[in-house]
Amino acid sequence: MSETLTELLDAEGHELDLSAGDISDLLGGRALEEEGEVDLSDVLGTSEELTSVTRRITGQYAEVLARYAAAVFAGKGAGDLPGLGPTLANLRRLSTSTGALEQAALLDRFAAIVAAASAESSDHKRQLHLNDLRDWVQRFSQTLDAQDGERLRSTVQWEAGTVPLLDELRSLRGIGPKRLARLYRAGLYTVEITANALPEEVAASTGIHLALAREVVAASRAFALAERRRCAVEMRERAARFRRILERVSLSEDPEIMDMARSALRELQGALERPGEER
Amino acid sequence: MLRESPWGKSMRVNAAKRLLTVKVVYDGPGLSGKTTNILALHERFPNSQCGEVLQLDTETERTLFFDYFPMYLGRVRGYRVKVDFFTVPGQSFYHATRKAVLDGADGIAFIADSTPSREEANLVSKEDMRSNIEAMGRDLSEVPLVYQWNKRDVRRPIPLDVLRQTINTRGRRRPAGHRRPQRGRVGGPHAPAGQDLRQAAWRGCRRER
Repeated sequence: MSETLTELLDAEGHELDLSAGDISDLLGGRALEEEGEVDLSDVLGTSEELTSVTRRITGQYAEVLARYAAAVFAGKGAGDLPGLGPTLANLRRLSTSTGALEQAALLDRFAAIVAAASAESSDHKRQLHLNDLRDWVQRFSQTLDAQDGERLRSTVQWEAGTVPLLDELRSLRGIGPKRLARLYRAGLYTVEITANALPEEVAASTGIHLALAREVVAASRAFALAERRRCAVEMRERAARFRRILERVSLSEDPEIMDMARSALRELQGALERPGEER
Repeated sequence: MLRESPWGKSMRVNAAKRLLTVKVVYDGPGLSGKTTNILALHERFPNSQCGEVLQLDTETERTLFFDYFPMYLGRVRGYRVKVDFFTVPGQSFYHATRKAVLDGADGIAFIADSTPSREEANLVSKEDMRSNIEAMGRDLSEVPLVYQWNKRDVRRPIPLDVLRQTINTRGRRRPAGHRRPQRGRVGGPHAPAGQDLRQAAWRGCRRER
């Protein structure tokens, strides 16, 4: 490694002439150079690697956030979304850990919009809150990596009709709001995540007994399968629509039709690129 | 300018800051003792050399995203060397989070649980780690990796030979007399995987080129 490292640093214009002894001393735990008081604030402060990891994880949860947003667009209120609070709190901790304060503020804003929309009885005023939520999706997606941001936007659109959170599990005997909240707090935000968990882990993470955990996982798998079938049908319909548009494009130079084709292509690509959030 | 080493996305060298950063990840099944390991490491080093431990866990104290702390090791010819320690969440459903944390790891400490009922969990976790590394275009055999047989004080622990045969399939072991299974509490008299990992990282890096 010393040769490689030396080359690497030499390429940067720093001829270091590292010896194997230097590195082994270091790896053996002894500081190589005697030094007095040193200011390590820039070394031990926010790490680029930490920032990179937190950005990726927040990006993975874009889909979970998108489903909450879609649920609100579909008419659900804060009371119907027991997992929203823990999800936002966890993501907020993640954001603040790397000083992403704008992102943390946006997460607070999301909670405020959902609360306001839920409490509003006037349809007109509720619509104003939904407009705020639409703006929020755009703004929050800009704090994510480009691909994750696009996934947030496209998933909100995709899920506005049906919302595969954990609500389906309410139909199980023994699953009420309290246990549902425990599942959420353990990070089991959606049926897909729960479908891929082991019953023993669900039991250990939430404190619910193993027999019920088995039922929860089995039901989640059934729901997830049904959801995949629904997605597959919708995907086929979109693909058919796109093929029809493409056939027209090949016969026309009309800019409007070209725009439609591009839009449909983006939509289809967004749908095809939707990754599973947690296996 | 940030440079990655020629053998892949690892060991970041920031020439402008004269900083060399190494990423070490503790992997293993849920509740095997990954967090306890890095907390023990953090305790053993002077506060002046370590940043604060960042723990992102659930109410039941399971790691939700990861645990993290940075450690300053010293200088090599003017370059400050820093190690970023991470743990991954052990539960199988946090697969995507584990993948994000493992990406770019310069070394991995796999913390296996010696509890008999956790034998399958160890294997599943090891396989998950392998698939994550391969998904990043790397081969697990090229990544410096040490195993810690943790919780040796449980009743009828999984025999060491079984752990070695089923998990440490690469077969590299310490010479007889130098094997050091983890007995009981990680913060106890037996050094955690960190020191072994430093040595494995050194061997792994030398193997390059």
